[in-house]
Amino acid sequence: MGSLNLSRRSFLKTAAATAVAANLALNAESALAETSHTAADGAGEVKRIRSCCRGCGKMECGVWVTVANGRAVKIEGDETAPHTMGSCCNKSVSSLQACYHPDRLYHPMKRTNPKGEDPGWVRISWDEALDIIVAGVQQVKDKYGGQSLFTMGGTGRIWSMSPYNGYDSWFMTPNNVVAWQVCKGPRHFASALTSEFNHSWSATVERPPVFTIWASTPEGSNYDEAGRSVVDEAMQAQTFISVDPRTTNLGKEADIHLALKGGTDTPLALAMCHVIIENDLVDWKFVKRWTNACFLVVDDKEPSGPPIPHTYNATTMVKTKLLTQADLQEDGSPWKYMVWDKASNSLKWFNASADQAKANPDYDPATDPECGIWEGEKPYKRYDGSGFEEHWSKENFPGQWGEANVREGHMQAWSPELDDFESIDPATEGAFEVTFADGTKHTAIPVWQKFAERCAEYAPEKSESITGVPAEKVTEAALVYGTRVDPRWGNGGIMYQLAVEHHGNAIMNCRAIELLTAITGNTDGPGGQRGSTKIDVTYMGSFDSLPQSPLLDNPKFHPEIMEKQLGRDTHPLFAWWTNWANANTVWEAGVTGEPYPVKGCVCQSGDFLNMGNTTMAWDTLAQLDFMFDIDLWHHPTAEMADVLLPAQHWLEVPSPRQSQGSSGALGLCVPCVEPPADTRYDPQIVEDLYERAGLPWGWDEDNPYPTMEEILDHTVRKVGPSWKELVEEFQENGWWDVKKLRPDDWGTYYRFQTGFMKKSMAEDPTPSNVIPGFNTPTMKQEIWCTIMETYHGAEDALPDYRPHPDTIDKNPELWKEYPVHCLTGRRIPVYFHSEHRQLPWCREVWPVPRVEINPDDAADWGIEQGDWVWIESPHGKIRQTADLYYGIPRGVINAEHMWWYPEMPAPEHGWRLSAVNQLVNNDIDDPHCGASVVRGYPVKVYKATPENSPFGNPCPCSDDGVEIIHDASDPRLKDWAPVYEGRDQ
Amino acid sequence: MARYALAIDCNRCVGCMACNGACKMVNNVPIGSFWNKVLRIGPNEPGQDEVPSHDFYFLPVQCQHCENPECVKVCPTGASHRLPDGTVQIDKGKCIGCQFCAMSCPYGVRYLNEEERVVEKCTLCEQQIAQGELPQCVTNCVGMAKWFGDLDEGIESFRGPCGETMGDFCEPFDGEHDVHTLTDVGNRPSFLYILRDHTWQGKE
Repeated sequence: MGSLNLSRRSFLKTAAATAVAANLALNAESALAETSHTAADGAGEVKRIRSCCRGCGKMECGVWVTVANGRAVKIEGDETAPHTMGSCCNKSVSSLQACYHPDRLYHPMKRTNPKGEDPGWVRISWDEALDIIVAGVQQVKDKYGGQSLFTMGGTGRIWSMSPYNGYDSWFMTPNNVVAWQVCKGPRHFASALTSEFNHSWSATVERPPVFTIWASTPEGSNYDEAGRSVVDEAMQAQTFISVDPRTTNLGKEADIHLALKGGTDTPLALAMCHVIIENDLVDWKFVKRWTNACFLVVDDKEPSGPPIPHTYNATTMVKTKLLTQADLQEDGSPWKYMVWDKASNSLKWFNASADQAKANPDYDPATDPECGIWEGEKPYKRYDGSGFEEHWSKENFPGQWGEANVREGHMQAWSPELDDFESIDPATEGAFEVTFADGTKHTAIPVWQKFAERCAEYAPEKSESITGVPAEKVTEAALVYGTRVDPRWGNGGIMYQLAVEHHGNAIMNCRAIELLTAITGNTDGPGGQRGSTKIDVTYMGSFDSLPQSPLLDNPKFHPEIMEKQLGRDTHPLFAWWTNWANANTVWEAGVTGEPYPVKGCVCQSGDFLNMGNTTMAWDTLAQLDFMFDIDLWHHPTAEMADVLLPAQHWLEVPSPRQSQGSSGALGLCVPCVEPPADTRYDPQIVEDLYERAGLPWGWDEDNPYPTMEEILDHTVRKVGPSWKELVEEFQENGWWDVKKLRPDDWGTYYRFQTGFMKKSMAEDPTPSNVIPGFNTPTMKQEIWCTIMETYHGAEDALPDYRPHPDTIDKNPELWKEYPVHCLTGRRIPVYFHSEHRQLPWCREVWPVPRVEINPDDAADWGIEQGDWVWIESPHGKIRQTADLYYGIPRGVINAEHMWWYPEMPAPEHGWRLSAVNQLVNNDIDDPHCGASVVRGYPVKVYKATPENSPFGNPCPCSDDGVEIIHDASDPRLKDWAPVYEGRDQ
Repeated sequence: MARYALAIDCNRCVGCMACNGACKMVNNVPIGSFWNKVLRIGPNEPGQDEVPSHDFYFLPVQCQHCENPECVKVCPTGASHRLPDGTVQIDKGKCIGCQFCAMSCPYGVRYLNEEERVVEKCTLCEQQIAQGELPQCVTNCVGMAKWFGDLDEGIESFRGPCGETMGDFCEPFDGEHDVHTLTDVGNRPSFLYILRDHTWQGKE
């Protein structure tokens, strides 16, 4: 078992160094203390505590927090954090205003008025709150069944992820409504289908020579990488490619801008693949051996598969048209996928038998000599069990250290040479006659040929009319991306982000982009598509980090419960995925009571504004029998709860912080100030609820309700002797480099060859789980997606363009009245989704939502800079202010998402005024993962005037005519200045 | 003696406004008032060939700590003054809040603090640079667009948040065509703005 550089010996060393740097050691110790996090007020002490920011939900930015007299007074970037280079944005420093905000929830509260009115919150004790909640949940369960409860989760506080599955054992519901479904989740969904869960992340920190940002603005939002790293990479890269309908803030510096029409990502990615193929820029060594490109499709084969299921979250009996040995001979193996060997002019197999290991306890890959090998080729290098201390991959695979163009402070990873075939030469094209065991003859065609034909359908000249990107520009970009700067490895991954998920074709888009990175050899290569940083520690309260009691039941153990998951009937892949209910379907059930009523809910950093139609989501909340919310604030969702529980801020709580993405860092969130009044830490609240419900919680049957210190120690047990000692080490030495901590799991490229790709982060390596390949049924990165094929048929096995039903091609009639293409959801640098609207340093520089409009359109529409404009769809209408911007094409607007106005009265806080998802059609979503269509739909736009606006005022107002805050000089902003007194009451 | 100033690499500025919060965090600037702002300059023309325009930039604006500052000339009490380090500062004890300086400033970066009845503006974080530290807007600049230094030592010597120097760290630029100041009406602004490959919209 590894333990950072925290061997006993280094502890001694640390202790000695600490004695010298007494000041720092003091900081560390006081930051650690279980009951008193900081020095007592009035001591006059100024400390600098190393921590990790959570001003947004997306990145682990190392920060220094200066604490004077027990108060946090300054936040700066930790310049020693190599992955963020000391980045520290406006959201981060504004955390000082969040932590001490006068509107923070300090106590549990219960409502005294009916829903729909000002709740009339009154303070109650934790005891009373927990009792009401347990009784309320039980009442819904008794009356309607567990499935009538749902959970709402978001990403705001990273330790608040219990709605993703933490409540399931209590509620016994399959219905988790989580923002993940429209943000990152589809990418994870798609990469889990194609290669590995979480594989969507690319290693920007390794400075690929070609930097491609596809559909996001990480420079302002720290989306997956810190803004500073992203800007620096864009400047350093030989070529910076921006793929976005509009010019982003960083995109003004792009060398190539592919300004595609929103939602046409698949045709664009396939067009680029076509150019790669036509110009022979394919990484054949990788493609032939590590994708299923050479596997053979038999179009007229009745889909079949192995007798043992593929196991993801649930089990799937795979049914595929890919040719297996079982098709050809009576005793043939269904695990052996056939290829045509050009060297021998005969069929050869690849044996994907390892896939059964999770479902078949009798099967051990370590003892199967044919596991994971190609017929006639040598077996793979078997792991010797040497453990994390050794760099087994380096010892056993010849290669070289990577030469990523990293800034100082980053370590290189070991880059093993990719093996080549020794005797066989699998065909990538052709048509081969094969004879099945029953004597019938069939034609078998390599997957690659079908893929190449699909790409040719979208060749740049052909897809130009779909994507709107000139063919020559697509070709130029593809040639730059595909032509290696260094012949030894690809030019890097693609930083593709959430906009590709919002047009009703999320999974196709993600798969197409992933395949573009794969065929150019960037799967797990330097600066490539490396996935989530692999280390066996994770943040508190996450999906599955907190080890729950083995005594607990879980809906996933009950097929009859999971069958009731809302949206499963219309989204067959949910049976494989299981991780979420379909938000649109939940809102539909809330409004109609069909197929069954939804009547109870917990919200913990979730929100009703983020997906599906907001009006329907609100109406769903309004008809609930019982709801509780765990929060920092009174926001609209919270105002629909029966009970509010006060959460703690990131400056107040402890948690490990490993890179979610490919940044490869491990740090800690260290408590800097005392939490106020009755607030509690999110994971503690969930444990308290389980205890009150009479359910065990912790992993140890003899200690069902562990202390937070015990939980922290348990969470970090693989990387250090205790939380306390880790904090000391962190204060002293800063961020850990996971490439050093886990040389095989993370410090080696091309782990599909070494066997550390398939191994889960939570497992210690053994000969039974270190197996080359991917966690797909074919053990390959799947160009031909067998799970997709199983649930949706062969026509979905390859990526294809599927415009949603409200696109102009599918519903031209609708566009006659609503002729403008509405994009939304661009990242605003001072906000995180709905968060921070009440922080003065954020709101004063960005007081109102802005909709970007091309100035030439605006002139036609009679709209000037700063005008309030109406944006209207068949589903609703809102107002935002016009920002005339030649960075957006004509006929397209770009509105902001999730606006509410904290200064407006409860319960709605003004969400009806500007929240963009009121325009959303709740009936359409991605057929595969259900991500609702929250971008790329038709609207009309017109100037707000006294005549067409309530109260004769184009500026949005409350029901009694009071304007929202729309100017930095508004005195109400000053009411939100920090309050330091009264935190102990 | 020195000529302290900022050099701003506009290609690296992404309009994130981290400098706003950073400044307020250490300078006690009233809510609703600003020592620095970030402006989007352009784009003023449609993009070519149906592609959205890229010809714009973000411009962080604050006191330019001019060499020949109008605000100092018009100040009736000597409150506004230029220090030997090249920075322009306000002695609040002498300020009578007449706001002549605010009216004379070509860049509109001064305001009256309504509570204290004195004029305020960017001090270049005097309290920090006097100790060898950086102005906070430089430390927290996400894009590493802002660099602090002494014009007498040359722009290459300007320092970034982690001890880097502009000459070593930033992308090359053409000293003749890529380096600008805000419009000079005789006040000789000290700050330098670097902009490559985009159209500078200010008058020289």
